[in-house]
Amino acid sequence: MKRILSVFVILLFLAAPMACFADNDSVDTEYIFDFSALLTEEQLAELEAEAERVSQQCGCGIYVLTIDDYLEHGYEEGELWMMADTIYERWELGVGAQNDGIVLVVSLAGRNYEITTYGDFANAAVANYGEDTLAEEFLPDFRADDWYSGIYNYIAACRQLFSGAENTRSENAAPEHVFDLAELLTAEQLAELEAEAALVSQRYDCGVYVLTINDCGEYGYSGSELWKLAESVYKQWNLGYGVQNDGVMLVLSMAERDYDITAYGDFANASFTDYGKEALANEFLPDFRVNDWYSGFYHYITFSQRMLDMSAQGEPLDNYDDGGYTRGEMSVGTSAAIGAVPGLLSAFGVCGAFKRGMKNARTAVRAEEYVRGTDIKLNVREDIYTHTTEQRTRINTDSGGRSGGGGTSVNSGGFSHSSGKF
Amino acid sequence: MPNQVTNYKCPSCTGPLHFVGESGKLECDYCGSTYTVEEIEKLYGEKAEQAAQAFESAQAAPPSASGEWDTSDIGSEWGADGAKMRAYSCPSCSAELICDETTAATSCPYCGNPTIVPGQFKGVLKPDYVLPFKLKKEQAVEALKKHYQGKRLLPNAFTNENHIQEIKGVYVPFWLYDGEADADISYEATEVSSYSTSRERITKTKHFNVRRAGTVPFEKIPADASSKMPDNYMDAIEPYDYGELKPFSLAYLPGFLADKYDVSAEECAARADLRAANTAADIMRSTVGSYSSCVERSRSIHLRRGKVHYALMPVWTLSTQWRGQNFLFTINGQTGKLAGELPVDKGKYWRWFAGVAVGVTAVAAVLIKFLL
Repeated sequence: MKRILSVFVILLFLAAPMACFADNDSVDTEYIFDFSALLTEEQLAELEAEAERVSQQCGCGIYVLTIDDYLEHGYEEGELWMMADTIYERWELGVGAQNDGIVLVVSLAGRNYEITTYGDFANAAVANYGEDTLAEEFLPDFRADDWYSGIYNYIAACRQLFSGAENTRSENAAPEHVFDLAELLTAEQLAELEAEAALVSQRYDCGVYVLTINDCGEYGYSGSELWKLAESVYKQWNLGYGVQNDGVMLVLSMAERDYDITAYGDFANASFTDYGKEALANEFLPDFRVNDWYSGFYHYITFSQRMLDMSAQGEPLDNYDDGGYTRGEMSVGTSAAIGAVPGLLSAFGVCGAFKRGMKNARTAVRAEEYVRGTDIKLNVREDIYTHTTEQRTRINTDSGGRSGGGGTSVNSGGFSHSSGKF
Repeated sequence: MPNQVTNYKCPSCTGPLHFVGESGKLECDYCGSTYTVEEIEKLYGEKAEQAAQAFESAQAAPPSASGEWDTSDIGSEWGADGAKMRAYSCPSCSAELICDETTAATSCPYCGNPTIVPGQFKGVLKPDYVLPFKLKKEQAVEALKKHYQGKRLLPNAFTNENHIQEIKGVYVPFWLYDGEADADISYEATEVSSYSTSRERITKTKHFNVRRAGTVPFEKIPADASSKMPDNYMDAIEPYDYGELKPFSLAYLPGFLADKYDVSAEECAARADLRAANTAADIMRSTVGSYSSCVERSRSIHLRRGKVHYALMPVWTLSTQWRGQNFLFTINGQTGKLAGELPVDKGKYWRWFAGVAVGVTAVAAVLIKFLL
């Protein structure tokens, strides 16, 4: 009977999870659920923002739940883990295709805590890092009832463990992701961007790379051939993740201020569509135009993460606009208005030809009929070769399967590109 | 009926003679006798022989090396023939016309003014050459009618037969310029070839510096010497077949008016210069091979001006009024080539415009509606 009652209470709890604690939380949150009101509103807002930022950076949700007593919610002693699991699943927490995430549940009455992870990535990361090690980051604060510091340190530790886990997890990953040959970044900036790029790359099994060079002419390429340099580097440095070496690379050539976004591999090409690459470029170009390199690369990496996440969910960032015209949908007035353009042009052309035919008196400016043809003398006939110029144009082949203006144009080498000036 | 009466005296019956283009002979309207031009010239003096000698000498003369046109030997004095010439002037458009003593001008061939008045024959050079009319008036009328055909914007009333009856034959004075053009022109040319690999399209462009220099001789570039005759009308009915050019003789004039030149050879020379220079450049360019592109970088053209000849060319003219506007048509009296400006019926213009616009719009709208 007691068991049945417990199940009933749990179902009630799950049916209206937020309503159970509504009175304890006046701030609408998605990561920090402070139902025990341990934090001030300002602290809650600050920690919520930090948790959201780190979650997005790591591609792994970081959550905190505080309650007065888990026993009040139908759980038996020692079943806090069960409550944590249930909440995680029913509240649909987590990030990405596998809903990766970690939740820290704190029950004040017994001063109990529970750390629960979900998803392969999160499970592996915490297993490698050690749950106890993680707990040591916040327990001293909790023991001193410094809830804000404890939760803050928990979030910071999560960030560290997920980043570290990503850096050691993939055996196929290249050791670096940000190649700053033009030395645009400080060491700190470089390390931070490298960590971010590594995190995103390993999270989606798709390399996110940055390469800066002073002048592509030093490598034997002209400014318009930056795409060739990018393809060459990508192949020779064996970049990319997974069996198809998926990856995206942003290359900057500082001499001509050229950039090229190169994607390789089926997943990367599908994720970074032609439209998507333009959107990606719009993220970093404003920064590059004012020489804010760090911000530009940061925006490139974070937007790449967003595009990869959309692609992982089956909806890559793309534009399927077919021009707005579909068969049978155009009104008669619209088609007539459009048809009037060739109509008027034809009328002007025909009537203009008629009018020109009404006047044929024109002043002569040549006199070829009066040349004594046999007496023409050609005294000098020189044709001197001076030099040869060569122009190479990349041939794009459509990857097919997409219609209406969307999709990715992939060349015969398996690469797709988007280039321009910054 | 023609406006001018031909009355060149027949050696047999003293009846009037007139020149027939088809037979190339002078025919008597009364006894039917026919004479070659040479026979008549023999009867009417030795001037034709002198003109022939002038023609031969002109043909053999090399171009002058000076920078000015050689007008020293241009034309000649009329001598005794001057007494057989008459002059007329038009008080409306100031045209000055001459004809032989047997021809009467009754209206101006340019403006159609019927009150043309006799003037004094003086201060006019005798032409070196004359190109006889070959096209009869009836053929000129047919050429004009043919010109009307297919002109969808022509007012219906304009094709009225009465207008066509106003056609007149006029010998128009021309200066004929001989000379040479020394051209030296440089070009920048390219040869473009391209091929594709599996990943790239490679375009190779070979660059060349090209130079052509040479001499282009010109013979008898025409420029009309009448201020009343629009230059573009005369240019448009070229060319003439100079093979039929004859030393001037009064025998070719009966039945036709001759316009009196009022623009000097020096004043007309710029037109000949321009045509010679442009043509020399064209000929140099035509000797450049089949490059993919050829852009002229510099040119130097020096004209070596030669002799200038004075000739009368046959032109049929039609001047008519339409809604207060004067329309002139000219027809090459030798080849029948026609030049002129026809009036535009604005009503027809806009009806055609609306018809084409509506028709094409309807077709395009249907295609857009159902195919896109």
